[in-house]
Amino acid sequence: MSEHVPAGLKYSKEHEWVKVDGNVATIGITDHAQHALGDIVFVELPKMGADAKFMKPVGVVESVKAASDIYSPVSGKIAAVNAELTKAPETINTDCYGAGWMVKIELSAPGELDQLLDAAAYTAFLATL
Amino acid sequence: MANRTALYETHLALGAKVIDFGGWDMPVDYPTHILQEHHATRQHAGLFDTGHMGEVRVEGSGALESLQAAVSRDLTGMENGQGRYTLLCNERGTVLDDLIVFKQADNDYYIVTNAGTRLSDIEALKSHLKNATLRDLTPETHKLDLQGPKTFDILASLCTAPLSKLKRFRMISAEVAGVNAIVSRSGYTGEKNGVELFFPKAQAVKVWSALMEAGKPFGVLPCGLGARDTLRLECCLPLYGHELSEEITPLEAGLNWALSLDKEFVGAAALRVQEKNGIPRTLVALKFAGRLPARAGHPIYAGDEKIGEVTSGTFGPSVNSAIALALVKTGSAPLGATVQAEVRTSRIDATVVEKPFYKPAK
Repeated sequence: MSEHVPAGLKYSKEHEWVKVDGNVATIGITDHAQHALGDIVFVELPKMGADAKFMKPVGVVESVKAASDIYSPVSGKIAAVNAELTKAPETINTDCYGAGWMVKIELSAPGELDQLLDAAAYTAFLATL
Repeated sequence: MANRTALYETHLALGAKVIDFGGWDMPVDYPTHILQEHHATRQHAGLFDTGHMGEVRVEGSGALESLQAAVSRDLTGMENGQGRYTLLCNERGTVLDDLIVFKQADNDYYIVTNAGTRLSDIEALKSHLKNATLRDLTPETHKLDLQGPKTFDILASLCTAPLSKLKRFRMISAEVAGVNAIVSRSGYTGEKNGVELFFPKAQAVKVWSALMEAGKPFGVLPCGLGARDTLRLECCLPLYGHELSEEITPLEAGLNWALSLDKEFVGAAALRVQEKNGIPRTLVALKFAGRLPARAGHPIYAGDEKIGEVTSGTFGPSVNSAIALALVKTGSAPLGATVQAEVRTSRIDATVVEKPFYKPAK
């Protein structure tokens, strides 16, 4: 199955995407992740102002099948959470790179972005799975 | 390597996600995913590969007597073609497996077992055989379940037998899509209309394809084990390894109706004692206000006291909330009470409700 990997985003090997805008990174899960999880019925997001650490759990998504951690692909302070997902978690299935975004993080270590994959590298990584 | 059913390649071609279940590589869902597969079964029809399950035939002049000594339910008085849900217990009265025993004819019984427990079931049954023989038909048999309100509409074009007249838990021999099959009106979705089909393994792809083709105008979808689980849990059907195990008695699981304690079978003595003394734990149905599912193993609290744990939990698509079955200290969670499930760091409220969570329409 071909999975959508938009150019211009950064990706983690845990299947999160990062969109950087100045000092703020928007985080979500990839098309591959939402497909693998199946129907998402619940999302647990961090509190505003909480600290996110590089590749540590920052939230949880529950699909009908199981619970899965979301790993923060960057370190920093939680600047925004997508409260709409509480009411409509299935948005992650229908629009994972758009309305299905999860948190915005104020970057404390922008150098970490270099450890993430670009679209081509992530696409190549998916092919190895 | 894990066992694979005759439809393994068919599932891969449909884009199924495959997981290990009871030692078998089985589809957990297709690209349609669990919710759509679940709703298709409730509203139209779902087709399930259940080729991993076991089929065993017990024959001979001592067949009835042998089975009576082994299983929990009285098997006398059955008509030909009639089936009964029953349990296989150990001496402690806990559960080795749940089975459906069909009487095909006098001295001839057809038994359906779970996948992971089949070989140990056969050992247990064999130890009771007197003037009877047991044959494992699993290697040559395929099983498919077609479930949901359109079941008999779909079968009508593939089968001339009057299947819709078949009563619940009855089986007949019939030709389905030109293949000789046993058709049983039964299943594991709680749906009133549904069949389980047993036929030669070599015909698996042919029968599957015919059912998919005939089902297309009726909205049939192939469904994986994920939807099978949400469907059975909404209707409070027990799953071996969760509500039934060697750590749980059928009385605790609320399956008193599947026990004939006035006859002798393995575990009967222990169960009579427990029935007299009372059950330490009770299986209760919990409905949550929200959608966050508590899962098997999550603890249940009444106030500060831990009263038990979840045996199965999921989001119930037809009840549109999280649901769970939990084994709790008897008396600690009466109907209507509010209890809490601990999910990761939070405690979430649940109400003890009547079983089942969902009753399918006719």
